[in-house]
Amino acid sequence: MPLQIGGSGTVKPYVKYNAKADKWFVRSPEGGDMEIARPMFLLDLKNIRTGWLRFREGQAPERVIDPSLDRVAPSPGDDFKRGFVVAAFSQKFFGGTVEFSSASIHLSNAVRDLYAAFEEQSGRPENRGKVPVVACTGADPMKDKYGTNYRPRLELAKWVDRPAELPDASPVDDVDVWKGSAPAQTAAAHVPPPPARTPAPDPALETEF
Amino acid sequence: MNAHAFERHGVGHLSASSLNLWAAQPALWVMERLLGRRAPMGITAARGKAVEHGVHLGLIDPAKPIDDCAAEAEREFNRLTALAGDPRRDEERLKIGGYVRGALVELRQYGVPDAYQHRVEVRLDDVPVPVVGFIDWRFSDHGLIVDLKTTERFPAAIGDPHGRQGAVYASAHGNFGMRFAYAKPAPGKKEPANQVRVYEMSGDDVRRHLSALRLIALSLGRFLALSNDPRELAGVIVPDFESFWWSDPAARAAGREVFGF
Repeated sequence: MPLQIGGSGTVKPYVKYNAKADKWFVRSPEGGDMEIARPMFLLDLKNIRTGWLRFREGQAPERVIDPSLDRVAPSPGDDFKRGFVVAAFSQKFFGGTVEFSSASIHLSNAVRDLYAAFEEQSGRPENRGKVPVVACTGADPMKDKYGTNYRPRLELAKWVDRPAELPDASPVDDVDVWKGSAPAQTAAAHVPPPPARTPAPDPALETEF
Repeated sequence: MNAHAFERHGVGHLSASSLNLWAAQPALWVMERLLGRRAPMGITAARGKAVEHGVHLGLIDPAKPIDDCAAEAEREFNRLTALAGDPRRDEERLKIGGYVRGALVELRQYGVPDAYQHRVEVRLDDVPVPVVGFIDWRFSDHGLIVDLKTTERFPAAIGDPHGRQGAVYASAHGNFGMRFAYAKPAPGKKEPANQVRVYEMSGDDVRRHLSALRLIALSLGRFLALSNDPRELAGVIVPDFESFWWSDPAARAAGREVFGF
């Protein structure tokens, strides 16, 4: 029986979109990010998962995945944002199958609209069992309180048979999925300082009646 | 559990931080604690130590100007990181004073602590060696133990690693309350613009974390019992160098020597 300890020594390959810079990156073979051109890729929207994501510099990403697309997990707390996790495949742009996840509001909005189009088209007889090919054709600047960010233009270009490299499976580990029966972590409340202690009165100074 | 498993590897006691490391990165635990290849103090740990030093000076002397405490903390940070090659050193140094000022405004309201870096020791069922720890401050007038954490962002709640640490402190102090003060370098933009948040552990939290510590310690004992040879033990686990636990270049370099890749 193997010991259930230690790391796997492997890191999931990924693609990510920097909404601040309108740039796409994949993990380079040496580690770190490597910029790529606007990609065209297969996106496994059938198995997309949503949930609460938190990315903090220098720390491992944290995620609490919704039990299903129509059942939202309770927020784990501050700094967690709604986001998605989905598998994507492109030999040309990504070098194979990668994880695509983000909590960017603009990217999430683009993927939400893409998913709506996917739902509408996936029921057509000619698309059954197939996977959509998504093309990033540009980006639109979005001004908000954080300055200018970009929303990528993602379009369903066509539908193709599912390749062996993109298994019909969940893109997240089961341990990351919120279990409804488990107690959800609730945000703690700030505890004020204790009231200042007044020294006990000197009995010798107390008035006697 | 056979005490020899710990003894033969020279493990005379455990700590919450050691058990947290074992739980998170067993390979790093083996490298540091069994093979003696300790990673240098990280910049974040040095920040925490330095801020704690400055805050302590301000707590034991309520009349000491906060700016003096901040300056002392910066000196301590410079001392601790004198040989550090971390590029974040200068950036972190600039924040030291802010952490100290914010923490002192909050914690001076607790009064003067009557214990600092006080050693505590607890025993866990079936674990043959004690778990020791050193509390930050004890305020016996209020029945409280307070541990200071520096952070860039407030956590939503006390996380498991801190909770385990607090469980050791609290269980060694009977019915004292255990609080964690999370200090940021500057007030946030949200209203109210807090710079410090203080969370208190419940009795259930303490029990739950003690239970977890016991299971983690038992797991460690079983692992140590597999072999008398630390190198053989290192050979059955695999490090995850992508983990932030291995972010220090010196630690990764040592890890490559130990684990061979």
